[in-house]
Amino acid sequence: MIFNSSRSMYNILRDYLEFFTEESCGQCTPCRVGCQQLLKGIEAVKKGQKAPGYLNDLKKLSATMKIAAKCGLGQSVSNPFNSIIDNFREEVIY
Amino acid sequence: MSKSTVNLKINNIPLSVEEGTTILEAAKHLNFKIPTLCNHDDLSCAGNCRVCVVEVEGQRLLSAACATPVFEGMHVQTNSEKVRSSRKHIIELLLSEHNADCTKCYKNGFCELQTLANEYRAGDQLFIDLVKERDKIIDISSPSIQKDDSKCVHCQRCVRTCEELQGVSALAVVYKGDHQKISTFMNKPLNEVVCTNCGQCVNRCPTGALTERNYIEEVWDAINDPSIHVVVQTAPAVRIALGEDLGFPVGERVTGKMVEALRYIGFDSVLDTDFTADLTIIEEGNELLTRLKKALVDGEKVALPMMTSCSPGWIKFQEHIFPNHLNNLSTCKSPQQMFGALAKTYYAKKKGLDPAKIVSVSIMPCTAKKFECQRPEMRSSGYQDVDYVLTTRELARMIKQAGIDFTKLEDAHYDSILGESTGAAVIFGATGGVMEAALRTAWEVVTGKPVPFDNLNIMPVRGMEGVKAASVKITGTLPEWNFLEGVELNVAIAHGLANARILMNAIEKGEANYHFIEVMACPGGCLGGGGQPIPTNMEIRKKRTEAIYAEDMGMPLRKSHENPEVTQIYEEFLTKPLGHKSHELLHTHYKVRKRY
Repeated sequence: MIFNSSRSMYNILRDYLEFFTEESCGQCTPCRVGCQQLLKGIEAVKKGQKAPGYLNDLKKLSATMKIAAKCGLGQSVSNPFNSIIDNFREEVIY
Repeated sequence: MSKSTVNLKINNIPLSVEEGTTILEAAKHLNFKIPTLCNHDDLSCAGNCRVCVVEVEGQRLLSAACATPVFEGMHVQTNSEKVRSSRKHIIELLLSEHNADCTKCYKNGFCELQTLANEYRAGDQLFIDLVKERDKIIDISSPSIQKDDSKCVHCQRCVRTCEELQGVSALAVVYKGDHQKISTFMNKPLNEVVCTNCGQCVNRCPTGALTERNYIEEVWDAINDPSIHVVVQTAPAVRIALGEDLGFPVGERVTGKMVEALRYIGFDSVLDTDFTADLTIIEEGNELLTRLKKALVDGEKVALPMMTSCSPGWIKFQEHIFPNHLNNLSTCKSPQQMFGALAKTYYAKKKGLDPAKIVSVSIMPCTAKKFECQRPEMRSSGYQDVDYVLTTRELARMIKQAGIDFTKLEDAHYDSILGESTGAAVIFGATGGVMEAALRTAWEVVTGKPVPFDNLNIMPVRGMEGVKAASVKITGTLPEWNFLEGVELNVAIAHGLANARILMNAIEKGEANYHFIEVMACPGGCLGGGGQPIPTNMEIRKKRTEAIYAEDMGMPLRKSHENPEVTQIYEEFLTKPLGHKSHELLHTHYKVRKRY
């Protein structure tokens, strides 16, 4: 997917996570709760309520979601999450 | 055709199991414990909690051990680094949406999530607290069941229980994603929906989300009030299960110790629901014979088949789902309510007590009894006949609170009047028991001889089949019953409301021609009741059933009509079965309830 440089990658990630949080069917734990934790997690880091290092914990969580969620929706959340965190980490933090 | 075997390795140890076995079951053969949460032996597989994930070699994803069948050449790792860290994450996620106020929780110490959290040391609150304020409002509308959504882990055991075992579906999953919750029709409170209060969901809830409404403090208050005389009655199925919560193995009979413990706790009189179970047989047996006479001799139109009325979950089910068949229900109250009515009349009179100063407590394997005792019809003594109902689990808790070392207690006997019972009453606790007890007495009334079965054990009505049917040809009748000579008496027994519905549908369609039907709301009968120790599953129900029948075999008297106190109460108080006094105190009526 292509975005121009004026777009906030934090907002894009948040939109992705809002989408997954809402569209999760809610059956399995990794997806239902995992999506909520990723979303609240990046918001907390942005607001300074969690230290930037918390993003590493969330990356580990997304790795669990990738292998433990019941269906493709939960398994795919880690793709945009890791991509944006790895490449635009400072945009998410600051 | 026999199933072929599959060879696999779990944690590098080879084994062969039958085709179709899940990884979870296969691991048990090797004594590897895989933790589970949403899995329950009685229920279908859901695979949604993901606590049981394991690694299968060559696969990118982890597999839920409860939901994955083994295949030839499979290599499973149940404890690899990947598995352990995923599991810990999953438990932490569950904790983050769980109101983990453990010390204040009723299930503290009995919670499966708490146990998992402890095993995986997942208490550091890594993740953000997600408990919603809306979920912190506890539904206490039902007199039987309390629902606290903030403690729900969405395992859906309750939903599957209500649908698969009971066919009621009072609880269902609503909404999706972060809004998902377990709720009732239109999010109504539990007392306004089609819930039978059976408590099977409570028995299967791994956390404190669904619990019985507990009345322990109210009972302590009554005991501690010197001006109050507190009587307690114990149901048949309590004595064979109470031990499970107090250090005995499953299937241990603890009747005598339970009586002694109740005395230590401070109840003024320890009496037995079995007494009124015997009384139920006399009243209900006569009611059946009267109905048969009306149908066969007088040609009157009476409601047949007659259906038992001991199980309050079943009664409420009928009132909601099959209101056209309320006339089929026996008008007899359940043994608990008969006892309550007699405790505040006959017992009070004999002991010279003011019924206003009697508090009547009953110990039941059942949560629906808590609802039943509060029904407005159940005040025939002029007071609420039974004041408080405690489950087997609540009694175990009271015994612990009182600091009693249950395993070391001596065996004691029930107090008399309303304390004497027979083996026929004990088997009320097992599915088919009421039928068997009724047949033992009715047969003898009609023919003057004992039922023609070895040791009075009527095997065709026993067992764990969902719906059982049997027929007996009546022969050798006494002169006044000769209209029954040669009649084929057809009986049926169902346990679990899903099975009851199958039976009722057959009756509605006119496919079945029964005279007498026994239904118990809970699988296995009362011994598998919603108020029984947790866990309850098929294996445990079978052991409890064996204990019930062993208790019956150990009783000197095994036919209800031989209970000397029953004879006495008819002589002194009730005069005759189905008499005026009986109708006033021992019989009731039912009401039509809405389906939504």
